Amino acid sequence: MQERPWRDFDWPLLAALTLLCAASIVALYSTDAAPGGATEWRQKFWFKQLVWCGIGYVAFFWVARLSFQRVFDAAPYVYAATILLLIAVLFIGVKINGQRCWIRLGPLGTLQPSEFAKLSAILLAARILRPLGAEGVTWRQLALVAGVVLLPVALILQQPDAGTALTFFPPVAALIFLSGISLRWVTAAAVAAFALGPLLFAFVLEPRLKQYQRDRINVTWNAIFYPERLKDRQTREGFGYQTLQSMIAVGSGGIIGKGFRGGTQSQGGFVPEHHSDFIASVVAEEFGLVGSLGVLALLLFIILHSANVAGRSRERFSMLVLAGYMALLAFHVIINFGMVVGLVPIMGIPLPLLSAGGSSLLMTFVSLGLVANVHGKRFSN
Amino acid sequence: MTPRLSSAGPPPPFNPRLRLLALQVGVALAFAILALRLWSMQIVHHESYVKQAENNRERKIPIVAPRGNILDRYGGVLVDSRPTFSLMINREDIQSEAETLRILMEEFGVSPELARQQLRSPSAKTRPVEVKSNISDADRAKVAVLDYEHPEFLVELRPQRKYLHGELACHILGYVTEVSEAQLKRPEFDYCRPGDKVGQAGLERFYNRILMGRDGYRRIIVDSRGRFVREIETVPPVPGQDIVTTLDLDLQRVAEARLRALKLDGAIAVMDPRNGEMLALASMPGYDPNLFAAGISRADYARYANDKHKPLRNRAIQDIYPPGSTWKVIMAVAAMRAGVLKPTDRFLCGGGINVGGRHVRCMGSHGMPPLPYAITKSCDGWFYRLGIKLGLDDLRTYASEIGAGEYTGIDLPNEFKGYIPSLELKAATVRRTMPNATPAQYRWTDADSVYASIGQAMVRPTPLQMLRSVAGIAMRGTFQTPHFLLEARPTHDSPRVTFENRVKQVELPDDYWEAVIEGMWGAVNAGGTASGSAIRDPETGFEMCGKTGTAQVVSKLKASKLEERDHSWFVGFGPRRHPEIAAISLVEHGGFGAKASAPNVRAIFETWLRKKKGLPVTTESPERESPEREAPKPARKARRQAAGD
Repeated sequence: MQERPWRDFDWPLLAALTLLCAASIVALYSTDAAPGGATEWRQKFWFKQLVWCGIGYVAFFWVARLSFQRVFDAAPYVYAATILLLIAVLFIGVKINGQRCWIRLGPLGTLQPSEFAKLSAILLAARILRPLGAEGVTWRQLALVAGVVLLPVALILQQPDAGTALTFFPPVAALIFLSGISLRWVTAAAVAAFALGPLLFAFVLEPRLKQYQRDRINVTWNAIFYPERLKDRQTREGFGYQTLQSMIAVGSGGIIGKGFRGGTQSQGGFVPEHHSDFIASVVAEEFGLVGSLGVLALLLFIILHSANVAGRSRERFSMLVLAGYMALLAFHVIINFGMVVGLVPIMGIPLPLLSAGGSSLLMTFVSLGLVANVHGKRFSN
Repeated sequence: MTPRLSSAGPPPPFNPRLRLLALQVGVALAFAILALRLWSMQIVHHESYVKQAENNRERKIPIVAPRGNILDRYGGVLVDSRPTFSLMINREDIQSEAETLRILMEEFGVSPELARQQLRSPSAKTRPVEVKSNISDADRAKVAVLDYEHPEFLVELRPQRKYLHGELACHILGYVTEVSEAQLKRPEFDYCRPGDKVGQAGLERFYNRILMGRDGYRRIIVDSRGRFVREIETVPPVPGQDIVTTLDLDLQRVAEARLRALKLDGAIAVMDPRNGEMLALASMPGYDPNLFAAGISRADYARYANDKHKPLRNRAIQDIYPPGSTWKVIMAVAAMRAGVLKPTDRFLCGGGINVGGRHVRCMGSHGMPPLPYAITKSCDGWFYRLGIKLGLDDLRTYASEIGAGEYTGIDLPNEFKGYIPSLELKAATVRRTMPNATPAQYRWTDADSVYASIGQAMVRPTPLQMLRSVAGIAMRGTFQTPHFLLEARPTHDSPRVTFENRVKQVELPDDYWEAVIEGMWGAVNAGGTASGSAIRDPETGFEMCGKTGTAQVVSKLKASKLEERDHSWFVGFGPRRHPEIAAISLVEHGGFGAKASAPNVRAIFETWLRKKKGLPVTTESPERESPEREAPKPARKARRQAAGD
């Protein structure tokens, strides 16, 4: 069958991607934020985001045209490279807010190796799980995948960045699920999670949490069940500040929002990190329910679309990669939006395509390039 | 070997597309929850979040209302409020308290203890607190420079009280400080908020509500760091009402100069007996109210509080003294009201009286004189016998009727009531001094009546009470309420306020009043105890009437040191027929009334006369006094004693 790159290109994906990038730049432009309070326009986040988008598009089209065989071949090397970067960041990384997650990278700011590790771990895990025996996934495969995932997780916990470490698990769970693990096991895992989860949390995880993590969980608990408790002074000005301010920003946005640059919460700088992890609060405040549901719908489209493309893929490796990425993206969006609306404790998880940050943006473009790649080839092979 | 992707494996034992679909459904469900949450927040609870967003960024900054001015009776300004700048700290905007305290210390020289104390005060919860008043232009510039990084530093225009004449009339005017935590809990200050400056003494306190006005405020929008973004509205403050007092600054100056020259503690009060207007009230020593206005330092306050001369106390209304022989005037009127004394009655002097097994002597030998002569010569023996005849109950009834041991009702805070003899008082005294007293010793005896009759023992009025009583007697039974308020000037939303004068009328036949007044006239003008202080003014025919008093502090025999010398009293009025001015002088340990106190009252009356005649007034300098007007010297004491006091 003839390749028809022009007609078969994934135009809907490109459109959604572009709309979200535009939303990101509008929101960042509105906040006028810049790293370290710089005032020059070239230093502002919106401009940097624009530049990274340009780089992202190049990467997107390049990956979209790539032969998947080369991706498959390169997976171990990419993985090894990112592991090396994760080790390097512990030694030469820049420390921000007590975390050593970034490597300084000239004029474009910083590089966050953990973002790349997410994709490379999915690639290698997919490669491992691709061969499928008659009985589905083997114990050996599972053990290998566990190693592939736990290595970067352990390194990232050293930074320490528990939120990012957490993002490695949903994709892997999706991959194993799609590798034919029997439904008995899935059911058993679900039952165990429901039964043992609370016990595990109370007796194993909880005592190991840092105080700020415990406080954040508390705040979320209150935000969901006792919203009035957020208003007492200690919570309001202490660890609950960010959640409460973000919720105020979202709630006060209303249906159509306060308008571009009209958000009192965003413009007054009441929500910390409103350019990165809390960018959704800016969209929700200034563009209201219309804006926030619009962004949510576009992201949901990309996720479901990725899954559809994965489902139509002719071979397992690309299917697994796309499904893994779908799980990763969904987890990011759900957790990030959950944070912004007070349903999930605060952890450093950005909103893909919207949060300022080159590494995350570039990885998203590359991953979606893979989706476009598979989409383009659905009739070939 | 790298496997080829195109090599299709065996068909999987499960349906991957179905499993993918399950994942998709799961994700969609999670998104539905997020969408529901957004709907709930942005539509259902929208209003509540809007309100919270507004509270977040709105600040109400109070604009302190300037207190009303205080003026003398001629409209001259005694106290006004001047705009000064204060360095304030807004606790809400502090990022790091240690850093803020460090900057306060290094840039503004504010001690961390003071700043911390202010930040812990209850007012810090609701409004910025003052850490330094009266800051310089340089300090203001520093705040402007610091603004971006440290929005907690604010400069506030705060009117500060200025007492133009320093210590002059300080006990009348009083002073202001920030309202205390304890005061805020009292209903008296229910209209105040933490951080308000309120009067703590004098007229500042008594008329605080009138003087204070109502603070305005500025509503502004701030960003998350508390930095000013823009203004919503300004409600201007309503300044307090100006108060015009009855104070005559010339007389006040004379009174204070006289007391200062004596270098003794004391009080002088001057009033118009016709209407109760207070013309002057001096109490020595005094204090500088300007120190309080600027925020008094601990050291300064301790100096005032621990001074044994009690400069913060207004001796004219907050100290009680045995009135000595000035009490005899009260005794005479009380006895006449009780019906035990007629102007023609004569009592024996007898050089004293034997009572309770001992002889209580008179300072002279006066035969068996009528009332005026007994007052003129201050005959103790005469009053001993009157006191026994009057008895305790009638003394209590009729002395308090004319104001002894009663509040005068002056418009100054914290007036003392003083006391006059009573059985309870006697019992308390006995319990204190004689632990093993028999029941008989608790009874009121003639000896008690004798001591009380000459203003010793259990008689303890305030100087102002004595002045009010004598002024009422001078007015032939019309007792006014002394007061300083002439009027509080009206403003556009507050009406004019005047003093509600309560007048008490005490009825006696005219010749009864004349007899007492004749005695007081004689004391000054007809060879009486104060004859050295007579005013001879043929032009107006002004004649001063008065009564001296020399109150024993300790037994005469032991008196040697200054602290043990007698208190010197003189209370007088003039002119005799239609009195227009009355004054009292009390000098602690001043010795004879005629020596330390009568010249004070005379100096005041002379000044008043000069003003009345339109002559220039100069504060009499004490150096011009003749030597014999100085405080008595011990050598001359014995000779004067023979003449009575």
